Amino acid sequence: MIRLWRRLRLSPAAPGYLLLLLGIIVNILVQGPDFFTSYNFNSLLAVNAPLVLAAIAQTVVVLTGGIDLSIGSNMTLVNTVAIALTNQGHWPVGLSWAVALAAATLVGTGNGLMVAYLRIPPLLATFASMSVVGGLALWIWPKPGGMVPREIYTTYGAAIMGIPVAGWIIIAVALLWLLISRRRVGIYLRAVGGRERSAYASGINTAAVKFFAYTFCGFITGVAGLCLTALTASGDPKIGQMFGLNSVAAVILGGSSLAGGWGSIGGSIAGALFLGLINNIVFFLFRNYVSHVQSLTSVASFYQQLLANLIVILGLASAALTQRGGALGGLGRRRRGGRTQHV
Amino acid sequence: MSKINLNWRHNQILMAGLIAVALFIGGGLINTSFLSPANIGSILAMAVLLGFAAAGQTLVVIAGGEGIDLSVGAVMSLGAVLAAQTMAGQNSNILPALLLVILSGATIGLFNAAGILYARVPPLVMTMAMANVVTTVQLIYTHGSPVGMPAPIIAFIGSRRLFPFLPWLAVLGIIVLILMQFILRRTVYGQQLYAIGSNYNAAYLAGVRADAVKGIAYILSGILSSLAGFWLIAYNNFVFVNMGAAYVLPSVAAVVIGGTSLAGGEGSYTGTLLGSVILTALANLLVVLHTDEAGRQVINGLVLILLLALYTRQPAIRQ
Repeated sequence: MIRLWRRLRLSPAAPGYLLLLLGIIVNILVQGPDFFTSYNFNSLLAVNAPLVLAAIAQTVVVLTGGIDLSIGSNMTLVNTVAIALTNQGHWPVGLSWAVALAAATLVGTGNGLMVAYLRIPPLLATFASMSVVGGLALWIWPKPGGMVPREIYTTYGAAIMGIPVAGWIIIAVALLWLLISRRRVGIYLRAVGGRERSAYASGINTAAVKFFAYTFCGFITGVAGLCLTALTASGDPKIGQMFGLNSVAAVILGGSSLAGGWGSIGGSIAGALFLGLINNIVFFLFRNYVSHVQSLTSVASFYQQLLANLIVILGLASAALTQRGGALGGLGRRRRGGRTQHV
Repeated sequence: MSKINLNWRHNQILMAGLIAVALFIGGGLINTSFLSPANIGSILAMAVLLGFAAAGQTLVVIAGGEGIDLSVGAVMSLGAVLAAQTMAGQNSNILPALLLVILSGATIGLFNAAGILYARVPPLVMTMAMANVVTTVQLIYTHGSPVGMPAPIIAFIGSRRLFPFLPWLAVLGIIVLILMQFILRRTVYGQQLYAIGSNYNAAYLAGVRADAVKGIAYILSGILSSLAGFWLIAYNNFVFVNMGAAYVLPSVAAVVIGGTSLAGGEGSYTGTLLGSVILTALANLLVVLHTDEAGRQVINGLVLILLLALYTRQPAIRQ
């Protein structure tokens, strides 16, 4: 038990888990016993699964010292492709969803090509692809609308063996990642993120490793987009807007370092769930304690957003402060080999 | 061949200038109305607005340490809302409006700096979270429907032209350019900014108060973005919520196209302005060609990728 605690405390993900624990406790306090109903669990997971998966995708890229801003518009692309093919093209649902997943993976491949082989800085490369992919999504499905077969969204909201389907999907993706990270590629990913030059000098094909990271990130983003489609049961060319940067926030909350080299999927999942819980907490806070103030109701949603955003900043600050290496003084900061070459 | 490569790398301002000229010539060949004085004037005016939004961004990126300011758009929106409401179409209210706009920008910049320097939150995430807060503050303040108008003098500078091809805003832009270049090249602060950007530890050991210099960069960025919002309503002559949101990522792109390295320690505001001209001219060309919103986004992104591949490539690790 003590050993487990020590391992947990030393893991970079510790702040993420602590934040999530804190979030759950506060949520129970403001929501009351209703929190423990299975319906609540189901809906919490179903609503937050897209962000959780986006955070997992982001973590894979962040591990290599990169970043993917295009995750949000890539999820939108998945949504619009899946909806357009079934509603307009009258394709079978399974096939069109598979095509959507393939499209997302292809976007990831494109990002990988730009970052690994054209050597464009990841922030800029994925920013540019965000514009391209967002434009494509808008072209494919310009206005909100369309629908998803009833079986899909009812299945998505249901539970199998006590665990919600959304939970199963997260477990499956996390297991897939565990499988990969235990293999050689997983070590290479961390090595490239830690110090690219050393990784290269020890014979790792760093470009190929980065290429793989972005492609894999695209694939998981595709799954996230499909979950989002099953959740909202319609198509919308603006649906994914918030996911790109929120996934980065979730990764930071989970204790991973944007400089690369170390991080944990578990922490990112906790970070994403924390972000989801905040909305829940703020909602119940306002419903239970503020709603009787009549004058507030018209702008209450703005105040809710403000409170939620402030909590996110506090969470980010506490996560960053407890990060390994993050709290070192000015002199302790390590500059990454790859970027300081620019003379 | 290698010498040409070297020159390209080291002369990104020249590159940006060449691309801008090529864009104007190409645009003129495709559609002659693109080169009409009126159209050039509107490109310049919008480029200057983007250039204002990217001014603070330039400072923050030069300061290095993965520095970036994603709150530019939200700060601009808040600045626009505050300016419109305070001015309320009266010339006598210009000074209070300016003071309020500067103060609000500085406050937000201060919060950004505190989060980045003391809480050690990565700039990308800190400024993004701050942008969300500022946007909701703006919504609460205006209840979603802002009111007010720019003062007549300000509106005149913002929307009228000296010559058909030269808007007053461009004159203002040249003044800002001279000021920015003076700060960057001729003041101690500017030199310290480059110093901490190229090697934080060395600058610190040489006696530069590195944290203070970096913090001031974020505060200046807040002030400059807020002022950009001030001129945004002057140009548009009316105000709506989230006016500045569209400027966030283009401001980063303008800085990078202008030759400022995201690794910090190098760059200039001249380059940023040229980058703004390139981005604005491209967007305008697509409008002239009657491309729809989706097509504009796709082409914009593709051209950006081309530009990035041309000259933000990092050196191969083998070198």
